[in-house]
Amino acid sequence: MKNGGEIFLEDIPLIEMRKINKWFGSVHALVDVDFKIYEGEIVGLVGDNGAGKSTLVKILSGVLKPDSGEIYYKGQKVEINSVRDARKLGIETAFQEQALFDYLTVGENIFATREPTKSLLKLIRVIDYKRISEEAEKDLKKLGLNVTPIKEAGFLSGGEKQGVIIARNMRFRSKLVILDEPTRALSIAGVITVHNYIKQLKKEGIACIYITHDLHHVYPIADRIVMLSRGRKVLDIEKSKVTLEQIEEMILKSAFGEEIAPIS
Amino acid sequence: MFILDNLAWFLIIFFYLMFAILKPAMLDMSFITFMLYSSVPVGLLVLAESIVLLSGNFDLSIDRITGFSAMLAGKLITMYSISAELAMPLPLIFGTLCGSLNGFLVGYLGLNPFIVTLGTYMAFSGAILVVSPTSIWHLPELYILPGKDMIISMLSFGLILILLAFFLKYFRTGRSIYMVGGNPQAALMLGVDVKKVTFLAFTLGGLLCGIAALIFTGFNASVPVNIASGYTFTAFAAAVLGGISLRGGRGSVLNAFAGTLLLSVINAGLVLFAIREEVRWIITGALVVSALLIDKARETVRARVARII
Repeated sequence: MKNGGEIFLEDIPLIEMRKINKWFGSVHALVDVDFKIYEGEIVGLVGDNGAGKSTLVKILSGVLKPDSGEIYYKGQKVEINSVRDARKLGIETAFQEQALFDYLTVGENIFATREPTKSLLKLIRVIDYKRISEEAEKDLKKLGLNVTPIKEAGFLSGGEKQGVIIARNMRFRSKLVILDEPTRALSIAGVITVHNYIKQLKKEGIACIYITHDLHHVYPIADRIVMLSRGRKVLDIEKSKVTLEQIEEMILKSAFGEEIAPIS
Repeated sequence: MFILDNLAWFLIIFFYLMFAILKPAMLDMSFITFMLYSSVPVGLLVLAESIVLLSGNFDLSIDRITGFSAMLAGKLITMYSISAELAMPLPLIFGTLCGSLNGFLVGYLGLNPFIVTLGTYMAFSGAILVVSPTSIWHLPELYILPGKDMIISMLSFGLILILLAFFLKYFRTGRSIYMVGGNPQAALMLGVDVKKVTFLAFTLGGLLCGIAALIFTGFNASVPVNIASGYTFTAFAAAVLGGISLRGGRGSVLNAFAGTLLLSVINAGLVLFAIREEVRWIITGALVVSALLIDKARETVRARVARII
């Protein structure tokens, strides 16, 4: 869409994946999947185990390579061949239980691999732990997360761990954060807390893919729901256009093999 | 938790006082100095093992890397009458190369560290005898000085310990060893080159084995055929007693040093009590197993604490 020659940024997706196919041996894990996400958008990626959710995000995060298909970043075609490539584009992924270092402190976890350094005797640059603590403290306060930066991450609750992941992404201004089952095994209060953290990501203009098998967890917070089933995209709909009950009905239909009339 | 993490220091005090009460000779300054001095060579192997353990791997071949480096260097020196100044870096280079071989096989080829280092353990054992089936004597005086002179030996160990602790704490590369050992998946997703870090940990371990080779040679004023033999498990025990986790990513080299001292104190006590060597081996073996029990207890307590907080 053009407006006096200028293109609105909102019209171009931050990330667009086109006709993605992935095979594992004889299993067609992803079949011509199209996927897009805009800046600051929260997309709920739902589906059963084996639906292709993790395969799709692993392609996006550079862990897997697609067998065919294209990826565009702000309209530019890109190749994501490694985790490093994905990170250069600002895509950060937090897989279940695999995003934090239990034995390191909260501060070290936020700054992991990007620790601030200071000059020592004007000879070498060493990690500045004082700054890590101070800056991490600010990040945590901003997020409303009440933990001290010198606590070991292994001692945090599930919700607090998600908070640390989000603090890390806010600090380093990621463009897209992929959260894998961030509310799995959390209490209702924990889910609400994590949702508040995610809303702050959105406020900063950071997009978020929220993977879950539980539609009820992601529905309240998502802008759009994308559903995969047996490697195919069966639903891609803005939340404002559909109720939870309608989506549930569609899921049931797809479970019994009926074709879903695409709404969008 | 604090006590369990620093258990080795408390145990040192406990055992030392216990032995000292029973045998006041334990308090003798020259005895203490000798105890410290004699724990330098094995202390280097503990550091070598610790750094590999921190990266989430382990190395069964460290004593054979040390033996092979010492033997090959010794053989070349006597064969070609290499001057001591030129010779000193030789064991370090050989050790580094041996360590990097393990690192390449485990890090870049993704092979199992247990099988790889068991294999290289056997290969290096054979290689030692291929290089020289007999002990090597008559090495240049300066070459054996670092391991022979108590002060130089202890000071260089202290320096290496401090440098290593500093590297692991204050450099990003050092931190990445902890990250790879603690959670390789998370490290990968943060863009850490896990293969390279694994390679580096083994290589650094190899360098420390090379330094140990030089010190062991000086300590013995020769290269005995069985040089450093059997110390891998002592190094394991000391590292784990000192709080280095067998699961990787946790522990400090300073505490691993405490583990070394603990074994030295116990060993020295047993010597004072004139316990026979074979019995001392049984006790050391029991200590290795108890180190594993302590490691397990530490994890259990951690899990409990995590639930309470």
